[in-house]
Amino acid sequence: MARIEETAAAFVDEFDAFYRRERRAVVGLAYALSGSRSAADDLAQEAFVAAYRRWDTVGAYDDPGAWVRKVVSNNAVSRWRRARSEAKAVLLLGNSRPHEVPPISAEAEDVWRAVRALPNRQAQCIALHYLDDRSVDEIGQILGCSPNTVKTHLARGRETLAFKMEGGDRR
Amino acid sequence: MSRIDDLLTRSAAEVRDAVERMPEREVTTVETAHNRKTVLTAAGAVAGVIIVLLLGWALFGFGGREPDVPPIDDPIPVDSDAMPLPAPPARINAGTYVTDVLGPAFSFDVANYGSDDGWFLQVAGPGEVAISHPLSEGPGDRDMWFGHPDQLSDPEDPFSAGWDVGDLEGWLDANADWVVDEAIGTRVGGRQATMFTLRATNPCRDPESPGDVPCPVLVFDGDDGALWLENSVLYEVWWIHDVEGSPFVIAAGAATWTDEFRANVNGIVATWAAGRSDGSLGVEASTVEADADFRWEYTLDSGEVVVLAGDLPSGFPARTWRGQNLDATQGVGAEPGLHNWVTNVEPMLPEPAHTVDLIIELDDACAELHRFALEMNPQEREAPGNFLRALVFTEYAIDRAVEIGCVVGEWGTDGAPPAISEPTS
Repeated sequence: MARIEETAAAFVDEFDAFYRRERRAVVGLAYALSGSRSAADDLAQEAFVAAYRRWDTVGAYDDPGAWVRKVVSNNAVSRWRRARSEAKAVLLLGNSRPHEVPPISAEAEDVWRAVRALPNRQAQCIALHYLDDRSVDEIGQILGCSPNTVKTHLARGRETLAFKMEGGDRR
Repeated sequence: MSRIDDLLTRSAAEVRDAVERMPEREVTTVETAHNRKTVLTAAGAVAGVIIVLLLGWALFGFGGREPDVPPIDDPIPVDSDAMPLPAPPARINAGTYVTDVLGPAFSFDVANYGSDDGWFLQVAGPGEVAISHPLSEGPGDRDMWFGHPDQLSDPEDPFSAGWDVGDLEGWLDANADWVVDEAIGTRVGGRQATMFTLRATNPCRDPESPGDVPCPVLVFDGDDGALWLENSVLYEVWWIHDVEGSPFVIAAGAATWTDEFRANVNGIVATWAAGRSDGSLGVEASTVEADADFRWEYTLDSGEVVVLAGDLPSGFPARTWRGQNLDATQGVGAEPGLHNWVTNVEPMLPEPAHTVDLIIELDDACAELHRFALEMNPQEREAPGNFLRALVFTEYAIDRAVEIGCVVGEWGTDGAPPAISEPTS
């Protein structure tokens, strides 16, 4: 079984390094977009498991992290998936504390709540740009849209947020 | 920077800081080629616990664990609170079951599927434990099989044993055309395991092949058990390398894998554990009972599915389909209108399973074979390309008729099949 073992070991090492490198950023993205401190870790975990399942393909990408972010961005804004992850987190309470994202300030909570109230694409662009420091080009690759579309989503998102948070004019 | 830019930047920094304070997560995986399911094993309450991704074999150098979590490289013991597996046939509803009918003791959880119908523990040989999913539609469909084999099948003759169980890699290479997903390293019950998926390319129970065509086999346990690879069924196999000196094999098969079935299978694999048996977990002899007049009947429903008439629990599937052999022990009554009667249920005590002899009363059997040879033929011939299939059915019916003592007439000069009747004296 030596060949299989060696292949498995290399596979694991590579994926493990990827997971270690990316996990926290992906959890943060999941939290910002889902708003659930308890479900964020599960949403991230699901995305990593999905990447692991396809690691032969995903691992060969220039930026496998972008693929995981796409998955978590889509899943986190899905009400059904979010609810399922929250339910799983609640179930875990019986045995152990779920991994919750520690609380953030009320002001930051309000900001992210407002972000989540945006249309999904706008919320995703905002989260990827501010949380993950992704460029417009990178966000376009992650979400499968053009850089110009990303710019538009960012601009409209910021505009809406400004209106909501500051009572400003939407112009 | 605008105020909203500033707010977003600060809020993002807070999220990043919060996530940095999260404890690490220790996970283990149950791997299948289609769904590597991640299962939480410990919720680390202490920040800074090193991430341990237990994905396969090379996972042991990554460090910290919760102190009360058993080391993952040690076999996980069987669940001491598990219920003894009942004597088959039986429904097994949600719960944890343990048995040592295969030698080592092993336990597994059957989850609640939101239905009154639990998994069905099939009648099987002493060397195997087989369960069917509530939605199983026949042999091989949504079944799980547990075995502790001593031989792999011979790649040159997959109906016979002939390959060392210690050389799985060589066997997979020799059966490369069966392998759907390559083998990967994993762990099951804390033990080293290999997971792969396969679909046998050799047809079995193929009406175009004369006689009783067996299915190819993955593994044998002496003469007591074998994992038959049914037509068109995709099997996911967990090959646990050393359980009391031999591999332990868990195989799940389905013609079409549904999310529900996959989740159910993964749940069972994730909870599987094994240990040394103290010999106390066999099925109690007294629990195996059979009525001497035990009989049941299959009839054809409107969808050409043969269904079990009545409500007798049995070791046979409640549904089967056309094309099964008449004498297949798990698929009788396979032809439209054909009824089979089953008698002589003989417990093989003290073995944990029992065999069932299928007996069709001779006059009924001859009459049915006559219908089988003649009346079924026009139906079979109607379908394009089915002439050969019909001919094979006829030849099969004649062979069976001769074998059991019916009177078989002559073939017509126009190719009409012979009449089959019961003996006159």
